[in-house]
Amino acid sequence: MVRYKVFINKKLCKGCGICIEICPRNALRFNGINPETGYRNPEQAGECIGCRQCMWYCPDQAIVVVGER
Amino acid sequence: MAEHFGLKYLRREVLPTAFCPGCYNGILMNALFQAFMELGIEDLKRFVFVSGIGCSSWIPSPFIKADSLHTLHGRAIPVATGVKLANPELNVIVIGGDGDLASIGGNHLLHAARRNMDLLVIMINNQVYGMTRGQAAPTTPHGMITPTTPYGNPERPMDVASIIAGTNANYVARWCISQYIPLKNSIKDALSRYSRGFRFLEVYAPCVTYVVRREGKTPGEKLKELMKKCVRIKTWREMSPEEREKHVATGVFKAEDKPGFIETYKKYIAQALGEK
Repeated sequence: MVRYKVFINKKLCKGCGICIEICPRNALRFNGINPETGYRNPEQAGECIGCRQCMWYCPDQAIVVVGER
Repeated sequence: MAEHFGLKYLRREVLPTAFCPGCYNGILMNALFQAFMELGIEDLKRFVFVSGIGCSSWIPSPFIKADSLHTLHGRAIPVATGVKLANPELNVIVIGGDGDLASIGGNHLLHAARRNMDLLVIMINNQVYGMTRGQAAPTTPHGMITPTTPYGNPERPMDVASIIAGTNANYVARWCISQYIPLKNSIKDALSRYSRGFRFLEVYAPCVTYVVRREGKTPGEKLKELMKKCVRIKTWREMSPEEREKHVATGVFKAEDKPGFIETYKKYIAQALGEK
């Protein structure tokens, strides 16, 4: 079975929240404020099914979804 | 750690982008880069990006790792025409907004399409003049409240994709920013199957700050709403006039493969030289 992981590039993320709202499984949530940029950053909090919508709809090229066996 | 597919086409030293948080311009960048990646384009040496003035004209100029020209307001297409005529080997892509290409450069757009000039023009329709704080543009919907139309916009918007479909352009399509996969496939088509003549893509993407936030929505909520609001042309034509106003027709308006201006022009040059 393939397990999917969501990586967030904290330098590029602007905390717009599109990924959290677009995720069909609600697998992402906000996790505090990044002191370097001042924006809220998301983190993975649930099971990812690998649809990659967060990666496509991220306007800042900050999300990568990787499948691992 | 794995890397985003778009980062190899971007200048890393200028990131993060200058756009507002959640700006849909970034989603178009993703679609463009994924189209490049799927076509097997590793570097953008054979590409020139031309843009005018406006938020969406910022996409190529500092961020994409390719040669780019940031020109006068609305005059991106004449400069791109010059670039293409000077070196027809180059792939010239014009990226601009509705205020840049449709209102101020409207006549240039119309006549480049009439000539069937070998360019790919991507127009991001954000419905307002976003860079100057959201005044009403020719593409603002009827009744929308903006700083210049405080009681609602009395005018009706211009349907740019239909206008260009009425000219000699080869490929005309309109996609909403929420239709990521068709948008990406359309960019791929415009670069591979229909690689000559005038190709026009209108991308419907409301301004996050001056349209979406004024409606009291977050960028994610609006994206989900757009998924229901944007329908294919066939479905849209069957709707009643009241329903049509609430929806956006998307899809491919025109797809032909006629010879472009460069090809026709070269033929005339050969003819003129042969007769001497």
